[in-house]
Parts: sequence; C-alpha cells; structure tokens
Amino acid sequence: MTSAPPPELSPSPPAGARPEVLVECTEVVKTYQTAASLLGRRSMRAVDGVSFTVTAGSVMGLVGETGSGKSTTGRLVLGLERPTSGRVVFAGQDLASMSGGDLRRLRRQMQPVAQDPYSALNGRMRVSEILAEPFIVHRTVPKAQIRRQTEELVDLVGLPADSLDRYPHEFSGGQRQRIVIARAIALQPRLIVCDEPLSALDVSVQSQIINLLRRLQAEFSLTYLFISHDLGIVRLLCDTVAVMYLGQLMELASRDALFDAPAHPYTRALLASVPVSDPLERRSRARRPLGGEAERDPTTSQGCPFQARCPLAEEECRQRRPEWRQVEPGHFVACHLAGPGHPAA
Amino acid sequence: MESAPSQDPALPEGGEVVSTGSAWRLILRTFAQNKLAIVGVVIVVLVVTFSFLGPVFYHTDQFNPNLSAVNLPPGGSSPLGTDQSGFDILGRIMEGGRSTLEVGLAVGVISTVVGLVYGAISGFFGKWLDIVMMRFVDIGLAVPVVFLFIFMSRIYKPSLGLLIVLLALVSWQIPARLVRGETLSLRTREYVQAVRVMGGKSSRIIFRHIIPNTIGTIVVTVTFQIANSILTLAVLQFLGFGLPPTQPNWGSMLSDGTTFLQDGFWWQVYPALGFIVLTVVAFNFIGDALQDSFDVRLQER
Repeated sequence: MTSAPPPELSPSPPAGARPEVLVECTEVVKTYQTAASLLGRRSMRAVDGVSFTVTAGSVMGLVGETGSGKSTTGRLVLGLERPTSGRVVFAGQDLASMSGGDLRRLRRQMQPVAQDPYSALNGRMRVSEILAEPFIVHRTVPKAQIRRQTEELVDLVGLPADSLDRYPHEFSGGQRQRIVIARAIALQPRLIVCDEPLSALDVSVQSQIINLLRRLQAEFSLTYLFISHDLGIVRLLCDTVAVMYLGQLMELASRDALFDAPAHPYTRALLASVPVSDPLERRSRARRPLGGEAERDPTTSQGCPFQARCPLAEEECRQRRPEWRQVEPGHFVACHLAGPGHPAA
Repeated sequence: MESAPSQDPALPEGGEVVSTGSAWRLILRTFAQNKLAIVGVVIVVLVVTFSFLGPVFYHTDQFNPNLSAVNLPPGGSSPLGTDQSGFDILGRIMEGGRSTLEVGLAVGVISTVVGLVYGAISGFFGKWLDIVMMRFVDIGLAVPVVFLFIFMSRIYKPSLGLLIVLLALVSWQIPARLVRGETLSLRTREYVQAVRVMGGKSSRIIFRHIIPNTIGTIVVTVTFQIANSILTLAVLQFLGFGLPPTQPNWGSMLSDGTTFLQDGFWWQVYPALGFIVLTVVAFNFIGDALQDSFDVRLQER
C-alpha cells in the first residue's frame, strides 16, 4: 500500500517550510449495518478503504456521484462518525483515540459548511445569537466582547451590519450560506469541510460564494475539504482532486493532472459528462455517456467496483480489486489498466 | 475581492437584506385573518370576564341554601332561575366557570410543559432511553381515568390542587408523543449537527435548538389540552368526583339538573351545558387556527 506522503500536492508551500499534513486518512472503512432480517444482518460499506492526505492551506476536492461515500468521508474527517477500521488523523492526533473533552477542543479547529443553508440555521434564533454560539460554547471570548466579534464576522462575509438583528428567513439562500460560513470561521478553525456548499444556490450566487471562500482561505490560511459533484466548481477552487466511486478512491491528483490527463476510466467518463458550452468543442468531443447506475453488484464483490460500467474492463478487473498506486508523483490511481504501457494511459 | 457584483461600493458584497420582521408577526397576521380564530378568542375573553369579573357586579350567595326559593324559573331576581337548593344559577355558572378555567389552564400548561421536556429528552437521546420512556407513556395512556379518580378521591381529600395534579398526570402523554416525534426529525437538522461539531452540549441543543423549534406544536397543543381537560373535568364532576360538593361547578350542575329534567326545569341543565360546549369549542377554534397559521409560516419558508 502506498503510505508514502504524496509530494507536491500543495501548489506553493511557503518557501523553506515542508508542507504540513493536516488531515491523514489511512485505509478508512465505514460500514453501516442495515436492518437485521431473517436472513441475517447485512452491512453496507459506505467508505471502503480510503487513504488520502490533505496538506495544510490547500483545497482538496472530493468528487463522485450520489452515494459514492464522499459525504460520509467528510463526516469521518470531522469526527462525526467513527471509522469501522482505519485511521483518521487530524493535526497529528488520531480522532478515534481521543476522549470527549479533547475531541471537543480539537473540534474548534474543524468546522462544517453544509449543503442546505436553509436547514443549517436555526430559524428561531437571530443571526447575532447564531454567530455568538461558537463563542459561548467554547468560552473563547469574554461575554462583553461577543457582540463585537459577531459584528466583525458579519462584515467579513460581506453582509450588512444590521443583519445581526434579523432572522434567517429574511435572507436569501446565498446570504444564508454566508452566515453559515461566518459561523464556521468564528473559532478560527484550520479545516473547513464543505459538503456541496453551492449546490442549493443559483449559479450567479455560486460564483460569489466561491470568491468568498477563496478570500477567506487567503486571509486565514484555511484548509478546505471541498465535497462536490460539480467538476466545474472543483476545477475553479481545488488544488488537488480525489475521485470516489462506490466508497473507494479511484483517482487522486493535482487539479491540472486530473483534468488534463485523467488516468482512470471513471474520471474520464465523469469529465466527458460535463456539459460544454462551446458548440465547436462540443462537436469535437467524443461523447461516451456512462451506461447503468452506480450500483454494487453483490455477486462480484472482489473485483474493481467500476468494472460493470467500465468500457475497458478485462478479466482481471472482475477478479481482483486494483491496488492504489502512484503512476506519477502525486498522481494516484486504482486501476489495473492505468499507467505507462496500458491502453488507459 | 475579485469580481464582486456590487456596483455601489457602500453596499456589502452579500447584498441588501430586506426586513420582513419576526416570524411571529406573520403568524399573528394569519391568525387574525381567520374568522373562527376571532370567534374563539372573543368567546374565551367573554367567558373569562364573565367568570372572574361577573361575581364582582352580580352578587349571589353560593354557600347558604335558600329553601324558600328552590327551582324558580328564570326571571325576577334570578335571571336564570334557581336550583333545587335555591342557589342562583347565573351566579353559580360564574363560580363554576372560575374553577373550570383555572383547572383547564393549569392542566393545559403543566401537562404540555411536562410532555415537552419529556418528549424532547426521549426523542433526542433515542435508543434504549427512548424505548423505556415511551413505554411509560403507553402505560399512562392505558390507565382508566375515571377509575384513577375514584381511587384517589377515596385516599385524598378532594381539592382544586389535587384535581389539577391528577388531570395533568393523565394528559401529559399526548404532548410528550407529539414533541418526541418532532424531536426525532429536528435532531437530524444541520443546525443541530453544527452545534454538535462545534462541541455544544446536549442540554444546549435540547433547550436552545430543539424545544424552541417545537413551539408551533406546543402552542397548538396547549389549547387542545385546555379544551380536553375542561371536558374531562366536566365528566368527573358530573360523576361526582374531583371537587368538594360545596364548590359550585358546571359538571355537578349538569348532574343535579338532569334529575329534574322530567319536571321541565330546563334552566338547571342547558345554561351549564351551553357554557361547557361554548368554552370547549372556543379553545378548539383557537387551536385549529393556530395550527393553520403555523403551517402557513412553514409554507412561506
């Protein structure tokens, strides 16, 4: 297994400093027990042996279809779920080995930004109360200063000062997402796990939020784990990109390597499914839409999870799960056919 | 700021926020537009004024029987007639209304608050605690109310306080179930998760996030609980339990009156009956209207 740290994942680490690894997942597995029946318990592997690292100060994209386990991976990184096996290490500390109090303190350093800005905010609280909550829970700021802190937060995310006295329902979707982001950065975390933060928003608003996320990242040297199914946004925002399929990582590479030279057939299929606005480019591009659904075939559990839909699948793909290997520095792929000398390369 | 869309530099990047005020104002507006709600509120206000302020202006003796004036028909000095002991019916209804409203309001509020906290804890913590706590609710709902009252009235001296405690004891289960159901869905909301990730304690989540969001259910439940306890109260008093016999109340007025129904003393039955029905209906109107206005708020979300 490749436990060697992938080099040069971060675009430009500060000169002289080694890029610090903020999150390290090693062979993480999360299984859910489905309801017990007469036939016995069945388990579903939502995340199936995932390994990756996120360098401090970088943006890592996690892409995949619905049900690929990308949200579960995000929850595992946040410590909201405990891995069935494997390790999630945040800033050098194994989340699974931590006690309640320590975990509480560590959680100040990681915050979620969720998909739906409507259910992410308690409609019974004013924005001032919502933004004060992190400070109250962690007692980082004396009570008298909380108001000033929340005023700064509101200003930081580009909302008018009088927003503090309003309720969430008075805001638009994009504005609510700004409030969610303000709450997430309140305790000055190091990592923000964004789970499809833009998919509930209009396209015009999406770009504003992207700009906001970028600005905050630069200002506070934040690290993002950015979960999305929108490859266009991922390309805009992320330094490295990991592709998941049915709970397993298919490919992980720097943004340019992944978009310019995808090594995995699934990644190529995903890229081919992105609509292209330019009609000339559209004509020149060979469209090979993926058939079928992302479903695990229960009879062939040992092979590659993608083999049922893969246009290149061979006998080996049905027999043996491909190992996670490095085809180029910083470029990992789980495919028998990828790499030099293979047709998929 | 790259490509910030705001043209006016004074305008924040996120755009303006148009004030629409608190959700309560919207709820109140919808409520006020509901005709039945207004009817309900007017009736309740009238019954309350009648019962609590009425005796100030209309003095009657409800302690010493007046055997020279039994079973008088309406008219003269007694606008609603007198009963078999010579008590003035109008004054007696006022007195009965006072205890009825006191018990109804107290039971409605107590049972809802108890059920609220119980249901929120049960639903929030879930698992075995939820299973155990909900079985106690099932048991509570299976206790025959009338039997319980007969039993307790043999042990304890009947009083208003005991009546309130006993009625609350048999009526908190419904709000508990409602709130538990709502908590089950609220606890998976992302804002609850956000507090968890933040490191917030369970008590904070329950009291700051879950309970305030069940307020719609609570307000509606209180009104229905009041209506129900007024009805139960009337049934118990009709059967002769709950209050000392000297204390005038609508239920025992009914049962006293029905013994003379054959004699045509209608004024001993219908006024009390009318007040029971009117009060219960009014609270139900209010409850229905509140339910609708809270639904409207949800739709406009």
